[in-house]
Amino acid sequence: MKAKPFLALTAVTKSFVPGFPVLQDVSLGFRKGEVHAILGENGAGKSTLLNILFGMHQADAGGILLAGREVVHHSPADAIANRIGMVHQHFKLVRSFTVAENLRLAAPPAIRPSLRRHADIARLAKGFGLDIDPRAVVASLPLSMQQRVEILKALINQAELILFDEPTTILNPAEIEAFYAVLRQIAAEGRAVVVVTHHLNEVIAHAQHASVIRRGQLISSGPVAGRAREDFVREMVGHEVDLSAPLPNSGLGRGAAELSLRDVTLAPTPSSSGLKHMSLDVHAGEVVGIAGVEGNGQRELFDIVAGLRRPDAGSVQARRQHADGRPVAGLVPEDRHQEGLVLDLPVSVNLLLNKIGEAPYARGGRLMHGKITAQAERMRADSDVRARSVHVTPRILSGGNQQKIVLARALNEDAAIVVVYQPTRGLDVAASEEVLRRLRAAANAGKAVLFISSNLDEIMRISDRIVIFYAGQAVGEVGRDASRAAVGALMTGGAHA
Amino acid sequence: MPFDAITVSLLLAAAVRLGAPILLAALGELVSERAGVLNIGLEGLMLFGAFGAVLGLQHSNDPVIGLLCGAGSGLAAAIMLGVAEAVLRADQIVTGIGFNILAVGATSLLRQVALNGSYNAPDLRAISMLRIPGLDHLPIVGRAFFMQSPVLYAAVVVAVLLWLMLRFTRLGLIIRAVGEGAEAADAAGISVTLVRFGAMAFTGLCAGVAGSYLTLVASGGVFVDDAIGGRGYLAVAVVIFSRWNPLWILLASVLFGFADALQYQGQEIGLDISPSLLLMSPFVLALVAWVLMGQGNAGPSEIGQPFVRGRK
Repeated sequence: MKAKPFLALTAVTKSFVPGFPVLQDVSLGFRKGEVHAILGENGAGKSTLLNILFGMHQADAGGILLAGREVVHHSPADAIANRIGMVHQHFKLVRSFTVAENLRLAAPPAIRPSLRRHADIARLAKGFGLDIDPRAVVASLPLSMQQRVEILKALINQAELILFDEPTTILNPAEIEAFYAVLRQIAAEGRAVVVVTHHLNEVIAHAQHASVIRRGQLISSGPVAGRAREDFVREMVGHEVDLSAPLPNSGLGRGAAELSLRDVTLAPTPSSSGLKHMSLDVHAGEVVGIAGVEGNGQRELFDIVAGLRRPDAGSVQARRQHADGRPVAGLVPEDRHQEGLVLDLPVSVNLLLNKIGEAPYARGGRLMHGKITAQAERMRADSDVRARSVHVTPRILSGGNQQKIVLARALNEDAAIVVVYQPTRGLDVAASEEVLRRLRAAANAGKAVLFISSNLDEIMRISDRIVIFYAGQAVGEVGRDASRAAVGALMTGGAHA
Repeated sequence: MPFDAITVSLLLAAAVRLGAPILLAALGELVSERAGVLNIGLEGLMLFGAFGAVLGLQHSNDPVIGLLCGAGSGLAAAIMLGVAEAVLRADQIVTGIGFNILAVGATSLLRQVALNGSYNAPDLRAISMLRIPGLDHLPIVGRAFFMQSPVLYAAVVVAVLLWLMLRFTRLGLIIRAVGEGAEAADAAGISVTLVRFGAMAFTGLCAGVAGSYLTLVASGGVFVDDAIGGRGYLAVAVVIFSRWNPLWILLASVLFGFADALQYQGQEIGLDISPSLLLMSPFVLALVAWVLMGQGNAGPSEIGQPFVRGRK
């Protein structure tokens, strides 16, 4: 018989809209010393579950038992007092503060004196295997480093149960390994660790216990050992899905070059290598995958093709260009909430944001709402955006549906070029598949797709060619049939495969 | 043009004297803004303070009690405003402007009901003048910096303390966090509502003293309708102009005080500029400040945004 759970949820039910429960009668226990994974699609209720545990929401029915004693978390403060820590998916960091200031803000009184000096903070962080510069301003750090700050916050809070909401979506493979090494250490020191994720490989490799939630209901909960990957997928999605097969290309070969970058150079920054004499062509009908460890020039590549930045040197040529020389391209930026959508404008406007100022959607400075709505309805139906109507705001939609809007707009652009950056970040299995399938279909129909991602599995499945970035340069190019190991070696600066 | 030492000295002294209420109000506003509240109601808070000070003075004949009543009135008014903006999360700009209009009407009505129009103020020197022996006879700066109201000296001390507080203390860290990343503060178990409410209460206290200064120190204990005359808005501009730094507020307040002083003394010193243009000068400066707000990102990033937990 195993040890009693440190924390247990008893028959928790929660609905935000009466009659539509997000969680229904969910009972779960989390033990110390264990990494407990909660698996489920987006919208399955995983995040709501964490939010209830952490006091961001309160359950309608059911409760929380902490070491056998009933507790109520009215706010995060209550949860923190009960030694629960949380690493949020959307970081709860003060972006204009330094790392040290963020840690001091979150630290309990007993810990604060030990955080007074930067050197002490650096040493403390190193002790947890998380190297970081305490003086760095959070906004200037790449996302993977920002996440370290979040993890450190929970660790210095001496939490006995740490909740992680989709912690690895923004990490590259090496960072994911390091991340789970930290988790193992945390659990081994006698803490309970809960990871909400939909990355099955990680669960199988690193978690001891897994619970699957689908549409608000607990499907299964038990040890991971001895269970097959396909089992979990079926439980999560509700039917069989093949997640490893390459997505077929059209077999017609590629067309003319739609986008050509020649000797493009951009100055490096503390968090990125910039670009150094980078040359790249993307042809109609192909998907070019950009693989690399984050911070090796991917952001710069996206910004340049998107026209957000000008290269310091070199040329960018596209078949269709704006009057000022920027390429006309459909864009799927990295951060849906900040760059991809205007969260508080209707779905219809978001779908047509790139064309809203031109006929037939605007005439003589007047928006033609009838035309906008009609076209948006068509796009919504085509893209399967699940929203009550095109008049609701994207803020209330799930991440998958938000991304479908961004993607629909990018594919609707009057250009053959489509540039995507981390297009499946934070999306679940079904939504990710949908995004990849649509992008592949667009390429097969003649678009030139530039696919920038830190998810190597995805890149290998969708791309016709894979260009590997290292230190701001394209250090290698491989075809669809290349091995993971070869790409991995190039990503970390190894010799040409 | 008679630009001799005495004229300069008098002009500088007037600038500092008229800068004091702006300094006090701006320091209060600073704390609200650093906590993420754009407290437009500053003008109204000052007006309630100004009225409360004269009411207290008339009933007690004691300027110190008048000052305390003014501070209390500002605080009480700020609590009303804080309930609306910090607790009920009303739109800060709309509520603030509405509050200012309410303040003009309410104090005008209360003046007719509660104030004695023919009241003779007692000696107000207890709060209007404190000579610093030895320094007050220095040429030029003596009159400007060492023959001023004790309230002004206190304000300078408060400015320095605020600077230290914001920079080096946990309270300062919390206030800045609430203004820069309310969600992060909330996740750290800090009550954003309480911090913002407290910041607004402090603003009310400062604005109350600033209003009291205007009636008790600068106008001899007389309250007239709309006694603040836009200085609350000037103080909001000063905060922006000073890039949310209390030490710069010290300097900027004197600058705005100087612009204010020109209205009265511009002609005396022989400036050949129309008085109505001089009257405008502080507001032109303020306009520049508001325009500067649009540039750069130095301001608290959550300013003006009500905090609602769980809003993605």
